[in-house]
Amino acid sequence: MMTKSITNVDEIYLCCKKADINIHSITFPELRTLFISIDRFIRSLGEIYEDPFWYPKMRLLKRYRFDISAAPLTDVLLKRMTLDLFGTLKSYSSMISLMYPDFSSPYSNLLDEINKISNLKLDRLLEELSEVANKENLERSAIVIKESRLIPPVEKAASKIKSLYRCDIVNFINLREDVCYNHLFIIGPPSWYPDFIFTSPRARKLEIIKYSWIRGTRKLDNVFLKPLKQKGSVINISDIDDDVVINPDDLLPTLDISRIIADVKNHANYEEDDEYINARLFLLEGDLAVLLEADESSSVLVLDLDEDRSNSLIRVRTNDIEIGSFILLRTSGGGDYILPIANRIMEDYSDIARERQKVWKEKLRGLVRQYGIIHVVSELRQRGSTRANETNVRNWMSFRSIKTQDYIDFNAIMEFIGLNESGEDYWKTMEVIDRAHKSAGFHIRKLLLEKVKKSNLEKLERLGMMEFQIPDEDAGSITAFRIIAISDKVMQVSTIRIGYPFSADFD
Amino acid sequence: MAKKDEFDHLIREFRRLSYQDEGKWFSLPAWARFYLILGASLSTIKSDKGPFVVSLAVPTRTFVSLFIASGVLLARSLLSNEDMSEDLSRIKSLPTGTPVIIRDQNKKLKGIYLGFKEYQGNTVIGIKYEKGTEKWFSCEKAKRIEILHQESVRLPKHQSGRPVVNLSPLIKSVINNSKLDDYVLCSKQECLIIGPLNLLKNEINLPSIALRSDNQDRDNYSKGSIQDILRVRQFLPRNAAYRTIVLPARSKRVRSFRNTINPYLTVFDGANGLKWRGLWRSSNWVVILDRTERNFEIAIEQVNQEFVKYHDSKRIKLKIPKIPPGIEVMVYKVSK
Repeated sequence: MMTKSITNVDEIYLCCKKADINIHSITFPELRTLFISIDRFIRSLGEIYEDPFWYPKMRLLKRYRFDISAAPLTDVLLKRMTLDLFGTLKSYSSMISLMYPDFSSPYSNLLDEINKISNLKLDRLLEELSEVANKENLERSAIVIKESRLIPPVEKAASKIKSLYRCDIVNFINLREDVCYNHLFIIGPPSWYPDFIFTSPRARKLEIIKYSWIRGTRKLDNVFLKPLKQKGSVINISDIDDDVVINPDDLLPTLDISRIIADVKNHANYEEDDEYINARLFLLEGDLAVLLEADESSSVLVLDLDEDRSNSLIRVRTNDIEIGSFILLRTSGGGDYILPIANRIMEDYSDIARERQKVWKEKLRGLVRQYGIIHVVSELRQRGSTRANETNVRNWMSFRSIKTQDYIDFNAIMEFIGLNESGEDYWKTMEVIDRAHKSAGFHIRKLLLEKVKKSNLEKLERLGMMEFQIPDEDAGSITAFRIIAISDKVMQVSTIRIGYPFSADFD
Repeated sequence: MAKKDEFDHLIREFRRLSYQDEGKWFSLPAWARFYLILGASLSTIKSDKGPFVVSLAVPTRTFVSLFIASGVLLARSLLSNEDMSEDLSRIKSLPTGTPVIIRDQNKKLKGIYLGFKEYQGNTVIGIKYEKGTEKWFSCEKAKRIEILHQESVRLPKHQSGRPVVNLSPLIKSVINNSKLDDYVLCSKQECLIIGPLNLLKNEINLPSIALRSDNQDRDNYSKGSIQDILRVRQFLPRNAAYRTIVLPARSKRVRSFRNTINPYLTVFDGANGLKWRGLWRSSNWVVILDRTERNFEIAIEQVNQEFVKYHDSKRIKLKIPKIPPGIEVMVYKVSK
């Protein structure tokens, strides 16, 4: 974030002083009817909504309903989306009439309504936006979209319209910056957006564009319990509520973290030889998710856009990551990005080193399998280990760790697995690997930092994700993802699942 | 001039403060003056009973803490009745012959402590700083004498001394002449800012600030920077006298400063800064929360909880201008 001048900051205060908020409510009776029908159908399902049969289909319906309300898309795209939805849902009709005969007729009626809609002009949001924008001087204007994934199709739609092609298309997160526009066109009801959009407006004029049946009224009160008196501190956004039948929050996509976790567990193929560690689920921009190790000492690289570029790459403990942060994950090249570089640093020695690492760890794992972890802990302690406990032994036998912290524990392991004569040699080799990993880490960080300094991070801020191609041939590409939700539950997962983004959109 | 008049004069001076942008000078905007005046007014709150807490919700945190801290420092330099007794006791306890440094008339001089005596009803302190030359300083300068941590010091025949500080025209204009030496030569832990260090550094360095002349020559500007007023320790040469300390909110090392920094005012710049509030409960607080920051709502909850738990029912009267739009302020005294 570049520090702005006093003049730039002054603009922000001027926007607070003079901001004018207008609501434009669009009528579209047929779409209104469809929204009500979707709502009714979902409610009629009751408990079976959560059923693995119904949930993905209802999620599709809700996603469609949200997208059509949240983005001014072209008629062509909206028709395609509508027909795709119709086609997908229709394919289940026969199954529903067999398995859920009570829902067959309402389901069929719903499909008819979707089909009917597909024959109408659907781009009403885009039309209204274009009309409102036409009346204004569009220098320094932006269209504000609730979800980053909808920005590319909106950009495409706006690029074809004379009154819109010069507008920036932004996510509301981008309005955290010290930036000021003349106009902001906010798509969707005000309650979808955080308070600061209206209490610290980044434009003199805010035009809210939404469908008439979605509530637009919003009141923004003082935040402190006993503030000093001040005129006009409470903001009232008034809308004509006659047509309102839908609560805006009901349209928002839900982040069902527990469902994703359950799905991760269901799809897991438990292999005896796999390592299992505690992990936490993080939801990422772009309908993706990732599992990260939940150990106290585990950490990831985070891109901090609030700091100047030279300090923007920091290592953060996994348990301290916040929503809105950008974490860096390897997305191509396969495997951990440190490992191949560390091997290259060790040159010809890497084969011996990795073989030795494999030997002692596999022997330890074998003994744990044979005798059980508690017995192994006891044996190690008897041989002088001071840190042997269940967690540490699991860590030591994992290929994600290199060695024990202290030689005394390593020596105890070597004795226990029958390699006590080679103990010192093995220890020296593990130290070589450790140093190589540290050097690899510094090397990657340096390359990444250089790449970050040269990159235009505006795209990352807008879209919530951005790939960095690292020049080192072993490093592959690393992608920064915005975190949008974090599970508070920790679960046991195989280490091979750690650190790889996967689709959170299960069907 | 009575203290109140001096204070009112300072507030009027703020109107003449300007900043430079792309080569042109502009008057400081109303919001910047508001923060300066708020800071200055906070310095008038009586320190009896508990410390005060001021919380602000602002449209952007940029420059807020610096202007508030500047207002506090300028007002405090004006209003302070320096208590010399502690410094004088310290000097009196030194053995004669102790190597010392004295900062006087913007010069730093090495010397040897000769002792103290009474002269015309006042205590005077003797320092030898050149061969054959002794000088007796009034006891008011006791705070400018520091021990030189060496066993002995060789004095030259003539010592001109090193200039301590290049004084900008701005600081010479806004600080009373009689207080100027103290302001630039004596360290004082007036203000601690806990916030985003790199952003604060950029903000401090960015604008040129000046006091516009109030006479007919309105293009005459006494120029300087915010750093001239704040005297942030981290951005000064080593051993230079400071008034403000900045700590990075994200650093775990903040905790280690708990016993060594005892400021008059602690500014928690952002929600990240607020998490350290438990360490400086005896200090006055200013909490700055940017409405757009990620943890704004959580921080507001914390601030409101602090209010519920600790506020004194007695109202604080502050003489401040109309609060600019976008800013919300809550002020209370902590009950003892």
